[in-house]
Amino acid sequence: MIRALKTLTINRLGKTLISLLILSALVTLATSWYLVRDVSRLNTSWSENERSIIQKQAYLSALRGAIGYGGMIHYFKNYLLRHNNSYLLNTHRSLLESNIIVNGYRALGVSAEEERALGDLESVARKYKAAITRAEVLVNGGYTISQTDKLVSVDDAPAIRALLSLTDAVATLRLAKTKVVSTKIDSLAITLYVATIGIGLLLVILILTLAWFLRSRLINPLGRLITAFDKVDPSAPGLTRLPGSGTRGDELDMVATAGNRFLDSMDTHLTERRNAEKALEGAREIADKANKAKSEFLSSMSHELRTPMNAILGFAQMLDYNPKEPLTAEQKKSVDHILKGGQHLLELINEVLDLARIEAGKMEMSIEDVSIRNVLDECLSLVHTMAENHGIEITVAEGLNNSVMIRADYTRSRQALLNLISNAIKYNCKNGKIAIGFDETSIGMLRISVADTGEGIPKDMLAELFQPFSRLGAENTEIEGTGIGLVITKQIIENMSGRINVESEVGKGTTFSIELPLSESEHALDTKLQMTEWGDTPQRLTDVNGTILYVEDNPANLSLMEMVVERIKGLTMISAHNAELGLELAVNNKPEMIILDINLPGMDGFAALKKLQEMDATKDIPVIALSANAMSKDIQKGVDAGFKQYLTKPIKIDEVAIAIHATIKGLES
Amino acid sequence: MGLTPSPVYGLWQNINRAVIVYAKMHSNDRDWLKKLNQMEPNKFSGKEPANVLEQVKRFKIKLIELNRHWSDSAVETLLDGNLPNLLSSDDNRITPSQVYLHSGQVLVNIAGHILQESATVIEISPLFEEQHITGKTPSDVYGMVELGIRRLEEIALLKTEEKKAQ
Repeated sequence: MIRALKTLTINRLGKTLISLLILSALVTLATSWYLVRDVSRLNTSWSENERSIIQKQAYLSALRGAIGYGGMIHYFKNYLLRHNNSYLLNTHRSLLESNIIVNGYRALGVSAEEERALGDLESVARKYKAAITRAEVLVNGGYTISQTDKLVSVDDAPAIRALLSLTDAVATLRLAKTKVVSTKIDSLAITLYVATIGIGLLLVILILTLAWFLRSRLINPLGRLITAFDKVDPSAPGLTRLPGSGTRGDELDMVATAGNRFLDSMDTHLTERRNAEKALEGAREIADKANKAKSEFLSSMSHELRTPMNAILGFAQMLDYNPKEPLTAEQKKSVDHILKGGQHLLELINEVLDLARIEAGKMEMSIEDVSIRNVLDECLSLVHTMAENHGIEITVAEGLNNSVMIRADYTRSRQALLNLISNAIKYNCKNGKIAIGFDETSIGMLRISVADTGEGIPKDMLAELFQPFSRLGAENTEIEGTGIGLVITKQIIENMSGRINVESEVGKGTTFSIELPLSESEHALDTKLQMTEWGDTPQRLTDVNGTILYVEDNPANLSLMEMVVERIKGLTMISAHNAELGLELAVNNKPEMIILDINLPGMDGFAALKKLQEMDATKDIPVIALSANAMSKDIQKGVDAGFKQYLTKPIKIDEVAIAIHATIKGLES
Repeated sequence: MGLTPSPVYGLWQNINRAVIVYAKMHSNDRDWLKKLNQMEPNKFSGKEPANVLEQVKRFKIKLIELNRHWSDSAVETLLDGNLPNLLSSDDNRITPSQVYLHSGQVLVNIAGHILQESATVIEISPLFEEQHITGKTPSDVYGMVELGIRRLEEIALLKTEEKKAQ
């Protein structure tokens, strides 16, 4: 049995259990039917017994009436006492009645005791019949009452005894029948008890068997399976083996087999995935290298392009403003062309680099609360001269104060707005107008619109507006531009969770609008940057006393710096073409300040700065970086390293001069 | 239930004897009485106790017609009390006991009438003698009842003729 159970599958167990339950139900039904049938029989038997007894009691009662002191005996005695014929007649009537009743009683079925009693009654009745017959003869013969009574007397005791005997017989019968019924009830109760105990035991055995089976064949193997599953190493699932149930071919064994197959397939899948990841990692490394190479290329290009630009723009500025040897008008015009062309080239370099950064997803944003009024004012101040030169009138809608804040990067938002206003000036008509408006959209954005009165853009060309290097025919005009300003502007705006829109009507003008998220705060960073423009007239600086050390490997830049220094009276410059020499000069000459190029042969600018900071003789000398590495990360790196200022090439003469002057003046004060 | 047709038959032998006694109370014509006494029961077959009971009831009606003074209340009858209910069967079938009951009533009433109406002393107890008869069928009983009815009809005829003669 146990062996059979051990090899029983869950499915077969289920079927077996169902069969056993059906069997239990059938046994219960059969038992119930048997019990109900017996109870019904018992009830019928009981009813028949009761009816028979009740009928017998009724007959017995009638018999007492017919024979007893209210019947035959009564009438007989009264006839003897009164000689009245009605008593005679009623005596016979009672005898007739008793005859009917005795036979009716007998017909119900009688016991020996009852039969004996009935026989006694019939015997007594016959005696009374004989006695009444004789009494009638005597009465009719003239006998007196006392004579008759003496001659005809019947002992009524047997009749009374017979009636009592019959009464006892009925009672005995009733007891016997009751006992029979009681015995049957006891038998039924025992049957019911046995059936209940049997069914109960059967169910208990079934439940215990089920519990044992569930525990040994389902719960324990499941527990082992769960434990094994818990131990599965996600990185190497194939190393774990799920234990079977121990019974070949049962469901849990099949689950374990399927689970092992699954783990094996997972293992295979993971191996393939790891291989794919390795391949992906390799590809990513290649891509990273390529990207890094691109970044390095861009950085290098930035540096390499800016270095010659430094010489071009620097010397052009020096030529443009040389009080000792002023240029002729023609020379001035030529130098202006150089400056203008150089400035345009520099803008182009900057924008191409910006675009490259955007495409690489590396444009850095510092989103903060920004006062749009400050941004606008700064843009307006930058384009003021340009607008005047074009005869453009710029109007700004009223109501925009410093408390209106947007969430944006200050520099980039200024770049975007400046680009739109610059475009509105450049592409406007002569003596045109620019209207700058503001309104708040329903979704918490601030819309800034820049509307010009230019020629407008045909609708079919609007789609090309934000394509790189697409100038929509302006390339054939005198208007300068790179064709990537709007592309950069759109990317900047969208990177600040804003959007840009354009509406245009040929002959009437174009309106660019940007939307940027409004800030809930009313505090803005007052981040106004000092901007200088190429070709601005250099400021006249006061005299200072001191020496600066300029470490630069490019001779042109050295010459340019010398010319800048010459403009500040009282200032002298010593220079070195590498860092090592620069350090030596610094220690020996203790200059008031040092200007360090970053990309130096041998020791670079950062290493040189570290040496300077480490040496007692030089640790307090302020050091300014002047580098063609003009990307924001380069500037941040310089500031973090400890440069007092980080200036970028091409140098703006005024900016450099102011920086030098301010540093030395600061030392003096 | 209870009695067989034989005791009923015996009872009707007694009733016929009582009818003869009753006839003697109305006529002294020896020939007529002889003739009445010699009347024999007819043979019947296939009768059921119910047929017999119907015949008994016809006998009772004849008896009432014969004597206007006849009354069921003259003496207590067997039909009083619970006895009729006791004898009735579940299927309402008429049993010999029920026929015996009604027949007994007839006998008691005739006997009572004899006691009441007879100018001379007549002993009625012999009319109630038990007849030890066996093997009779309801048809036999039917014949005895029918015999009683014929005798009553003879008495009635006699009384009618007497009235006419007067």
